[in-house]
Amino acid sequence: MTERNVRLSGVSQLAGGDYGEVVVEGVAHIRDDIRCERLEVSGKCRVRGRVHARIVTIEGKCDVEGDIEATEIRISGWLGVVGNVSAERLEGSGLLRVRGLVNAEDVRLWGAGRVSEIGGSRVVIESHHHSGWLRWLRAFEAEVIEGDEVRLTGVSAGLVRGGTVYIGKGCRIDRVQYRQSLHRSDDAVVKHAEQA
Amino acid sequence: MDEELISKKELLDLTGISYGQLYRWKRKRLIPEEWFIRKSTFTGQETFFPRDKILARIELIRNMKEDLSLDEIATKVSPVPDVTLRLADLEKHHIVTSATATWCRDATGTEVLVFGEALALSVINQLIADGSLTWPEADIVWRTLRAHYERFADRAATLVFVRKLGVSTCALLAARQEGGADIEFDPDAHVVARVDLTTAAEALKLRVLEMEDATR
Repeated sequence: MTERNVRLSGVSQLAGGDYGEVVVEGVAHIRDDIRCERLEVSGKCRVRGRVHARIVTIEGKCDVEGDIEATEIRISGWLGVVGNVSAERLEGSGLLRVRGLVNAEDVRLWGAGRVSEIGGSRVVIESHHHSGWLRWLRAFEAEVIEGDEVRLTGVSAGLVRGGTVYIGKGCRIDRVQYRQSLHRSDDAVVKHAEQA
Repeated sequence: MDEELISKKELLDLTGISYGQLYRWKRKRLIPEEWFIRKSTFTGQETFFPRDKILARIELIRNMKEDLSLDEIATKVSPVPDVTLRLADLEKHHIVTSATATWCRDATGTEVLVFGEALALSVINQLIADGSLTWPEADIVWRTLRAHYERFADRAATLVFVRKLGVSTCALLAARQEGGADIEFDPDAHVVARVDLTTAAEALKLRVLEMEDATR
């Protein structure tokens, strides 16, 4: 891509459109759909549209009112998405809130969050909600988690479905459906489990 | 339009594909968003699919996967595949009759068609064959689809052909959800034909793929 690179510091606005690298250091408002090679947010950013990028890195706070589509998403800050999130790789220790579906090949999260649905090949979520400045937040919550390999620690979910499922300590799961195997910590609460 | 549905769990059991594959194909848009139908069941939310469509699509992806990448398949199954088709090939592989091909040459002078035009031609071909359309009217269908099909392609669209007192016209309608929209005309107007464009487009895509297979 030969598009413009922009660095937003201070309080600024950006029209939607095609960009190379977009770096948000201050408080930025992106007014429409944005398509870029990299989106890096270390400040605070609100996007009133969709984000289409190769790499998204969130160290600050970012709210997206549409969908995010990326190859790689890294979160150490706070990411809120009204639409769906789709990526090959989603990883991070921050806080993730998604109202729609998180669809990623490889999910590795060790922060807190609330997501309605997560699906992919490998879904690993280890939430340790009693440490650090995130302790006032609740653990990781999801309605549905699906994957070929699912490993959860400290996660509350309605339904977990997968091939190989590991339910670690601190989990509270209403219903688990597994195809190959289920490993379950004594410390986890699973209301109903079935091989299907 | 009541379609038989299949639950995600059943689908995985029946086809032997994995959760990862299903999500990957969804990400790559090999399976359209609107085929994921959310419903509440006694165990909570469950996702369902239109049974015939999803089974055909999975079969298609599996067959093509042998020699195409997922991205290449995605461009072929997208609502408006980025292909150009030669009229002579469509004729040769019996996707349209030679009468339809001749009409196309005479009326439009085109020899190379984009997907929307090929769809228009296959719809004309079908309507001529079942006697609902006359040759002078074919132009109405051609111009309507050519001008508007792309905008309607990702929704469940229907083409309606109406005739009243010898005057004919046609309309495209689409709903945002599966199932299509409904439309009524005044009692004197005669709805000559309704064509489900989504089905017609799927059928054409399959035939085009077969055609490419045969010529490879």
